[in-house]
Amino acid sequence: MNRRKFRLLSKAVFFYLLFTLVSFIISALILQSEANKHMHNILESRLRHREHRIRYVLEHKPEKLNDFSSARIVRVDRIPSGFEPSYTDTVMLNEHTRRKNTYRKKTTYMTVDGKHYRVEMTKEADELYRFKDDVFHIVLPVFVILALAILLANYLLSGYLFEPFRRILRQIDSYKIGKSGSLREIKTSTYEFDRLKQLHERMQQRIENDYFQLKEYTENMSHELQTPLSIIQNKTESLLSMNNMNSRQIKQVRAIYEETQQLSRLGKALNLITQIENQEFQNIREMKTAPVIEVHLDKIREMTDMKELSIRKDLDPEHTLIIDPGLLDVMLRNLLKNAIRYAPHGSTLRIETGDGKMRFVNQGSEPDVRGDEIFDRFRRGRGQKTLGLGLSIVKKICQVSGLEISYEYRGAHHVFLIEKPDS
Amino acid sequence: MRVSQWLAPNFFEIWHTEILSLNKSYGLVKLLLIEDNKQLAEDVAMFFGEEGYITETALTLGKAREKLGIYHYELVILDLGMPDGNGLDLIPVVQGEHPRTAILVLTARDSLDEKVHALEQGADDYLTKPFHKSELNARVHSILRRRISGGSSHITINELTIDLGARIASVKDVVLNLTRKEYDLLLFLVYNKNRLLTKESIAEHLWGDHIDQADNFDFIYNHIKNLRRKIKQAGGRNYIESMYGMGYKLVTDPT
Repeated sequence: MNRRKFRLLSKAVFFYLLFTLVSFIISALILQSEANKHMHNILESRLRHREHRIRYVLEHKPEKLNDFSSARIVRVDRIPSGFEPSYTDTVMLNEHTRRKNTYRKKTTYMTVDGKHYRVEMTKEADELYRFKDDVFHIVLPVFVILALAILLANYLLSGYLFEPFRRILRQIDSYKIGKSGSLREIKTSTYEFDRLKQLHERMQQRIENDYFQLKEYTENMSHELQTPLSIIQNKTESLLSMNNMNSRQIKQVRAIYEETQQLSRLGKALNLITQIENQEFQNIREMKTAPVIEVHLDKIREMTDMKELSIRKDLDPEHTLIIDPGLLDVMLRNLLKNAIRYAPHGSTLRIETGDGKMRFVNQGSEPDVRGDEIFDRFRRGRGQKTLGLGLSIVKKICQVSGLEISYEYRGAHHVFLIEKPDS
Repeated sequence: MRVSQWLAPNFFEIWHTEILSLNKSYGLVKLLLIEDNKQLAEDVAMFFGEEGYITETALTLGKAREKLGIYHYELVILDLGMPDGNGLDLIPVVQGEHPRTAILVLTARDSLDEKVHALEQGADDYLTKPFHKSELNARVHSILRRRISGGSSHITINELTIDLGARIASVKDVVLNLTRKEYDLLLFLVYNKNRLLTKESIAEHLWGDHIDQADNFDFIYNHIKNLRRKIKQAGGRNYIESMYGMGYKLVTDPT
């Protein structure tokens, strides 16, 4: 899965060099075989020339036969049938230079005046062999020089060639839905980058279109519901105020009223989630948590007194969160509401901050859900009449504020921990 | 205020028939309700009519502009999502032409941005739908008190007096030792006297978003109990009636 990634240009250069190397080797081989042929032809013509001379001497001046230092002529009784001239290359000591050289030896038979001779001639082939080797000696360094030049060009060009690509990537990376940063100002003459740019622009448009439609739908939906809900709520309140209803009728109207309340709270909560998701809370700043927590605790005092909950605070006055104050309020409110709801009568709520962490601990029975599922929407404890959105709102707030929230059930206590990811 | 100002040609558009039963707290109060839902507009107008305000309604911003061009109102209740535009645009118009007119925004939009924006533009208060009429009533009272009485005024019900400026309630000159919540609760009841207040609306008024449990209203009962006790100890009668299963009501003539 996690294979090593290479730069496109490096990959391209690697394959380019590989193909160049192969084609260099192939052309070197062709050159060599051409050189071989050429060498053979030259040697052959020289050897043939010598053969002619030997024949001439044999025919006309047999006494000068020993003058040939580079040929051995032996008289034989007969020529083996089907004989073809044979060639061998051998290394011999050059008598003049005292160096070992390569020689080509041609062995053939000739018949002069009815006598058969076996003739072995040698001819120095060193230069030609050197030429053959030179092909490789030249081709390989040329390849190395080419490779170095390409690598250098690659290094120098990659910055220039890929600059538009990197800018496109940066734009895409910083892209936020609903906040249209355009790729249009990025100029490129590279076809692929231009395609990428256009495609991304089109995709962005499509996504934004869908997104805004969906957003508009959600907003309209929740807004348009509020007015009818207001009417139902007010009408049922009016009905309840009437004095001439019997208790059964009151019960019925009461049920309508309660459900309307639930519906209106649901609408508000879902709306809040949408607003958080849309990042409408942008007043992000460093907030000291201790005074805010104190204010919240003050506001819920009646509720905690009612359940005779004791509150144990261990607040670090220097503990801060970087968060929108509105969202901090919503988060604390929901965490406290949750703690009060599930804490048994007369138990203790613990609120601790410090060391980059904020911890809410309350006693309670084991939840039906496991671990992080507690943050799912519409999860609620047994027999609870709540919406089941509070903790999912808290989680959402943590997400958009770059905080991590975790839940743990430990020793009959619910523990919610909020911390900065790096701490 | 000149009589001709409200005895206008569209006199008959004025909702409530008992025009002359003026609201005792603030004198003659004219109220413009800008709301595009006819049913809701009728309900609210009826409600404020009963409260003794002269309430007119405008179902469009155009109609509202027309009315604002002719008449003076003490309070404009403004819906933002109107069929012919954004209600926010009307705030500068009201402020320009009637600087003494208070504005209460009553809208389904509950984004923080819009709320802040509306208040910055000069709205006096912001209430989101769905709302309890008792809550709207309390907000209107508190705006009018600030605007008309300059913040200091008294509400008297028989032997019970509330000094709104000092936030003190007293019975026959005996000052009640009320907690902040008890005072708020008493004022809410007094603003909505002789009207049923559901437990939900009380909870929402006192604790706002800090409460969302419909099944736990014991602490309201606690507050009511304490309030009754304190009024009684000071020699007052039991003004707060429990309406079984529904809520509470402050009655001005307890039996």
